[in-house]
Parts: sequence; C-alpha cells; structure tokens
Amino acid sequence: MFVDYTYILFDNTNSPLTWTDATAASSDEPESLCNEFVYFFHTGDGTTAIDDSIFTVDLNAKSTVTYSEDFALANAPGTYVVHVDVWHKDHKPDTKQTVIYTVTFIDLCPTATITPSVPVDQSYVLRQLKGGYVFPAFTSDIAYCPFEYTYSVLPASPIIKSVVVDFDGTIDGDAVAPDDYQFTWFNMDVNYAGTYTITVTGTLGVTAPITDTASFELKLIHPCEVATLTADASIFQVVHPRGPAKNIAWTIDTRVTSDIEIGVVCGPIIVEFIKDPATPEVAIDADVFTDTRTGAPSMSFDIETVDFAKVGTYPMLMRAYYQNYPLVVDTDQFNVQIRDPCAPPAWDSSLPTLVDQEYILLAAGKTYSVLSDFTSIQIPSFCPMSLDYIAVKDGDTANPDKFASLITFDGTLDSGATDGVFKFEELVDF
Amino acid sequence: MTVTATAGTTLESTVELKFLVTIVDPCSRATFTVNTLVDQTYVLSDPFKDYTYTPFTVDPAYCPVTYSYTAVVKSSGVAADLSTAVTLDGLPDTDAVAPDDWTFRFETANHDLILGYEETYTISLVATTTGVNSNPGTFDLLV
Repeated sequence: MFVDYTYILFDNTNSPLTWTDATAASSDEPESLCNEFVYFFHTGDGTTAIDDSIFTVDLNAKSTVTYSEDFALANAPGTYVVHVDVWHKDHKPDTKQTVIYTVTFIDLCPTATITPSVPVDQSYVLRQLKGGYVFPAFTSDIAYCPFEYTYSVLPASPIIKSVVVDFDGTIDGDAVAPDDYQFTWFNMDVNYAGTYTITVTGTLGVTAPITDTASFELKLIHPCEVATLTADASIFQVVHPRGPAKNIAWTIDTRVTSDIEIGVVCGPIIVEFIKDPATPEVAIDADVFTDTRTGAPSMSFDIETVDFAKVGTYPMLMRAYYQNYPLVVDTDQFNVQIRDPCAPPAWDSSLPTLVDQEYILLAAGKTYSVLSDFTSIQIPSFCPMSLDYIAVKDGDTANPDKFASLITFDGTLDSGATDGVFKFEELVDF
Repeated sequence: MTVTATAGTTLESTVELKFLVTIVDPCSRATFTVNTLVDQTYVLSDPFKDYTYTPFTVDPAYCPVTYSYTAVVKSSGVAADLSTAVTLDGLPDTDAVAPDDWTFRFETANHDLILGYEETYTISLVATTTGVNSNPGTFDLLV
C-alpha cells in the first residue's frame, strides 16, 4: 500500500516506507499463476524512473523505500508526486495498475529556537606549534537540527581567515583537517600579531534558515610578548673596599639572555639598576655607583666612594626588559658591600727609618716632615690618621722641659701645609 | 722622639717610628779668628806693665769667651811658670779688679826669671768657649 508520506528532515526517527506484495498490490490471479508483481516508481509519465536520489527502492525485496535526505537538501523541501506502476511479470500490458501518492519533505528546523554557546577567548603565540579550539556547539529546542557554522573576523585586515585561522563548521566527519567544529591557528609571521574578534554564525534549516551568532576574541601574540628574559646579576655581587675604584665590565649578551629564537626581532633590551628591591623606584646611589652603558662591550658598573658614610651593604636589583615589551621583564637581586678598609688599616711590614735630626740653638727654624713616612706605610694610604709624639730624655744632657718649648708639631692631618711637620725653633731662651 | 701614628675609623691601629733629636749649643761649634798679638818687653825694675790685647773674634759673637795662656822659654821651649809674674784678666766681666779685661799685667821683682840679664818667653793666648778652644795667638815677652 502506497500512502502519502511525510519525511521530516534531519529527524533520525523517520521510518522508511515499507510494503509487501500483500499490502501494496493485489490481483485476481495468484502470483503463482501470473508470475510475481513488478513495481516501477516514476514521476508520472509512466516511463521516466523517479530520481533515485529521492529514495531508494529495494525492488528485489520489494519491502522498503528509503527517502533521501540529501535530495531534500539539494532540491529544497516540498511535496513530490510519486507514481508506482505494478504488474504481473511478463504480463505488464494486461495487468499494470498505477498507484499515486505523495512524498513530502518538511524542514522544521527554521522553527527552532537557537541558544548560542559562549565561546572562550583564545590566544596563540605566533611561530609556535599549531593551536586550536573546539568551538562549543549551539543548541536548539529541536535537537536533531544540525547546525552549520561559518565565521567572520574583525578587523578584516590583515586577513587571517584561512591564512592563520582554519575552521570546519560542518559536521561531516570528513578526514580533512581541522576536525568538525574545530578551529586551528598557526602562522610563522609575527606581523599578524593583534587581537581579532571571531564571530561564529550558526545556521539551522534549509529553507528560510535561521541564524544566531557568538563571538570570541583571538589574540595572536607576538612571541616577544611572551619571551622569557633571564637577568644574571651575579657578576655584580661583590665586596669592595671604600676608596679604590672597581670597574665591572659586562655585556647584555652575557648578563641577559632571552629564549626568543634568532630571527625574531624584539627590539632593544633595557637594563636598569635599582638601589633597593623593596623600593624599586629608587635609583642606585650615584655617589657610589656609576652605571655606564654606552654600548656593548664597553658597558661597565663602577663602584667608587671615599665617603665613610657609604660603608655598608647595598641590596640591589638588576632589571632587564624589552623596551618594546616592558612586561617581559626579569630581575635578579645582588648585593654590593662597601667595606671600610680603615677599620683598622694595616701597616707595611717594612717600616721606614726616620732621619735623626740636629738643631743648633738660635739657628733659623728647622723643619722635618714625617708625613710621607707614615702615609707611605699605611695600607690603604687614605685612611684618616693623626700623629703624635713623645720626647724621651736621652742621657743627662737633655733637658725635656726646654725641649718642649723648642719644638712644635702638627699632628692633625687636615691637608694643611704643616701636616706632620716638626719645627724646631728657639728664638730667645736657651 | 717617638712618633705615633693612629689611623682608622671604627677600629684604629697604630705604628711608631723613632728618631733622635740632638739640640746643639751653637757655641760648642764656635770658630775663632785670632788677632795678632804684639811682642812685649818688661823691665824687672818697672813696677808693672799692662798689655791689652785685641780680643779674638768669635763666631757666634754671643758665645762667652774666656782666655788663658801658657808660656815657654823661647830659647828652649821648656814650659815656664809665670804665674807669679803675669796676671791675665781673660774674663770680660768689666770687674774692678786689675788688670782690666783682656789685659796682661807683668809685675814681678823676681830675678829668677832670667838666667842672664834677660830672658824671652813665648806666651800663647787661647780663647775658650763651651769647650771649644781657639788656635793660640802668641807673642814674645822679653824680660
């Protein structure tokens, strides 16, 4: 029996049209006598077989008609008239009868209500391995309706669609990458760096389709933005005495390294020295430290001070960052200890011999400087020093009381002209 | 002299160096210029005779100078003691005691000073200051 048939597109619950000889055809003569029934499905003119694409008829089993969804999708849903001729084999002219029925393909999906998904923003570092994102599917209240997804990108320039980004918005299980619903991204050109809005449009239905959209941001990251700088300030970790200058030569190449591959230009690396990690805004003490960076390899970090107040330990920070990517930064802490070499100073093991002096009373004033004798043996020579003397009577001829009035001595070393100078002079009384 | 250097800041260290200072009396190194003395003749019968010599020049001039003399018999060179016949005021102290400063006084009636009718003595005059003696200045005394 061939009755009008309704096929709901995409509905997996559609059943094939079935029949049997008993239900589809009858004859006043048995098949055993007039041979079996033969069926011919056509469009109405009696000669043209109906498009096989509409359905598949198992003419051997003569049991099922399976309607083709692809036909409906390709030719638009609608109602198609089907003619079925049936006759006894070898007796067609005498026995042929025609049954007419309709097959109606209905697309209910445009009546559905779409609920877009909420995709998550994505990022991809250019030049790295291919990244991807499985787009979360939209849903609808007609569960069987299949979504077809397309996408657009803003800004439109540079063009990243199909250049950086690929997407398979069709559930077809094909073997062509990417997989269904899968976004992938990959490119070696850092010039695509930027933030793009990808808007995915989900479409339901064949006739008068309905759509909805969902967007997410795709950030194509310049590799320099996520580079790793490694600052090594160990070379500056020194203990140095106050006074002499210490020059620590260094180059960025040896003190700051980056994991950026050769060929990717991130721009100059800035290095800063900061006095105290706890207060990073404070620059290093320029009275003690000189940061000379006139260009590799002549860069140096110089330490020099003669100020006793500068004695101490300086916790410092070396901070390196890309000038163009200031968030790519690394720091390394180091300490510079300025110690006081004059607490106490040492003396040369080889002491000089002072020159015995002779003064003839009433002669012109005579001077004798011992300053250099002491400064020459002091290690280091710049430590604060004072001199004093004691006169001890040598034998009975000496008169210590008189001697005290005879001699003057400047033992306060204050850079005066008379520092460390003995002066012998007696003008009146001897 | 012991000179002590004290150096350092919070901790100090010291070192000592020594030297010797000798204060020298300038008169101990005085020099003299001996002036020419004039030969003298003394007749025993004379009451006395004074001879005031020109003082030696001493440098430094402020050095105190005293004079002394010795005598020898000129002909034999044998030392002679003329203390009973010759008085010298070699101390420039302007005292009132004769003879005057820088003056020899020859005064004696002792004929033993001469073996014959006369004898010549050579008198050496030496100036002294702070242990330094001048070269002697000499003159003959004919008695």
